[in-house]
Amino acid sequence: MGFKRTLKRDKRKFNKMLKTAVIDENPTFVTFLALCPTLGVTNNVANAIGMGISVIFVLAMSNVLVSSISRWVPDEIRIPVYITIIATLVTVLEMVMETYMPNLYTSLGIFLPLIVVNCIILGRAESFASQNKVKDSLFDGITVGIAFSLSLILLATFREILGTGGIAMLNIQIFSSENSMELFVQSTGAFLAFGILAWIISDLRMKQAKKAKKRRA
Amino acid sequence: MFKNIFKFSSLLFLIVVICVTIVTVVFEITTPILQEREIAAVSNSIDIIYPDNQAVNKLDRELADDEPIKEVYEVTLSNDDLAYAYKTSYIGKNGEVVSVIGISNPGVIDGIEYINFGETPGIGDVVTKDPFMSQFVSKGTDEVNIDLVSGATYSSTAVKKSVEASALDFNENYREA
Amino acid sequence: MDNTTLIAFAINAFLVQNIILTQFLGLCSFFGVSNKEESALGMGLSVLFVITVSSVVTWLVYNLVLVPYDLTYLRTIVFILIVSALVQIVEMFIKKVSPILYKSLGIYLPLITTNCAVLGVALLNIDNGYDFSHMLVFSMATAFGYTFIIYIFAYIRDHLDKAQLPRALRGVPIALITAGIMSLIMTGFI
Repeated sequence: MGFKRTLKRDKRKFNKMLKTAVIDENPTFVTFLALCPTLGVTNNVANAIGMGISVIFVLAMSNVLVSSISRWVPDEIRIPVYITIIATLVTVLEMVMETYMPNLYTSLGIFLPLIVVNCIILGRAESFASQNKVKDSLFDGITVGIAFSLSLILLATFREILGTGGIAMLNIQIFSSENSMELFVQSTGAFLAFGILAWIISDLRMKQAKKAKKRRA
Repeated sequence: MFKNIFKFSSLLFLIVVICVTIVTVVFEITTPILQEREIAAVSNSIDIIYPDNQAVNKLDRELADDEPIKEVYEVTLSNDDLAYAYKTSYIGKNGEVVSVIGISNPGVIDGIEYINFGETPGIGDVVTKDPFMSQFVSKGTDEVNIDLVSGATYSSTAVKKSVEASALDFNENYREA
Repeated sequence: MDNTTLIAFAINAFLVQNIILTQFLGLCSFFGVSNKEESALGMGLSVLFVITVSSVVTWLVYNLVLVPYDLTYLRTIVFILIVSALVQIVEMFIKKVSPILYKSLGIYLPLITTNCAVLGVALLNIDNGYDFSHMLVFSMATAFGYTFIIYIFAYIRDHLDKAQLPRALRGVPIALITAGIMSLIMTGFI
């Protein structure tokens, strides 16, 4: 029954890590990491989901690999080794995606190989995976990846609905595309939409922090 | 000091070798699938342009790397006439535009099918829709002249270059006087 | 290609297709560093230098090594290793040759390896199929565009910091909205 107990403990740990990653330390809206793909691929929801899944895959795999080999890697060549591992994973992902999901491959374009320099991935490898056990690193990779994907999807939903009047992937049309603000699917809208969402979220967080403070007092 | 340098570089080298091996293995697995799909896409496009074709032969042509024309196919139609299908590729604003262009005697462009249209929807899409397409479909190879669509200059340049090159090649090699 | 198109091409890469405002590359350093004009200029110039050198090296390696041996599928790995090695070499070189310059640029150099603008320009050169002269003009114009925008933006942000804004809007959110308005200027050219 030891197995069942570890499974339960793992589940609790995973949920706790997920909450931390999504709400307290959200990589997009709180620490503002990896802004390039965040703005670049969120012009529609399908792209955001594709990017999110790619990042989850690369992040989880790189965390696992880094944490399992970090014992043998001397500090001096740590960064090049991590970069090589991440680049390998990204290249593999690129080729698999080109073969099985060609449409997504073309629409993600240059942001797919640029996952290599995504600050979240190298940052997690440096700050978490190199100092933690394999299982924890896997959990960390998945939870942070999910947090990143959710932020992308939120931003993409906001932009696509305002920009085209609906979500093409789900065949939803809320209002006519003639009345939509096309600006929001273009580059200007990326900055504006992200800025507005970041403002709202930071406002909510501040209110919550104030409330928590009051409760404690 | 030197011992360390040797140790570090050999370790780094080892890791790079492992990584390259993994990537190469994946590449060897995915490439045949990609090629197969590309061939299927070309024959599919030819079927759309010439629905009643009897046979399609790939012609053995020597083509320059920097030309948009990549492959030439000879299509036998149901009335035993010959038509020619050009597979072209041109790098547009957001990636490669790959298309198949069908031309038959006496120098008429029968149709264009896009295999890969690496453009953002909305802007580049204009070139696949009717007002743009009808500028050259069923036109003669001598009167190829496409207005550049505003806002889509790069992609329409890609289409224009491909059509021009195919029309020129047809006039040179397969046109019957 | 005649000169006029090359100049138009350069302006296009410098402003119209500006790397930060329309291509969304190099944003981390854009929002991270650009608070002080001086440090923005330092970052911009380091990136300018690294982008130009790494574009030339990666283009040469791609066309002289990877293409002849059919190894183009390795380009992401090869490029990122070249970029990180180059950044190290540049850092050591500047440290040796000009300690003063190193003092002002030194802290930005390690950050450049993970700056997506550098790898992004190297990949765009290949994806867009540029020849050598276009590659050189494109990477230099793009890098100048980066420096130019990051410098202007630092000036604006300096004033934004003094402005009376809602607390939640301060920092990155207002920076994003400002960048959005700046990129609106660029859409006028398209």
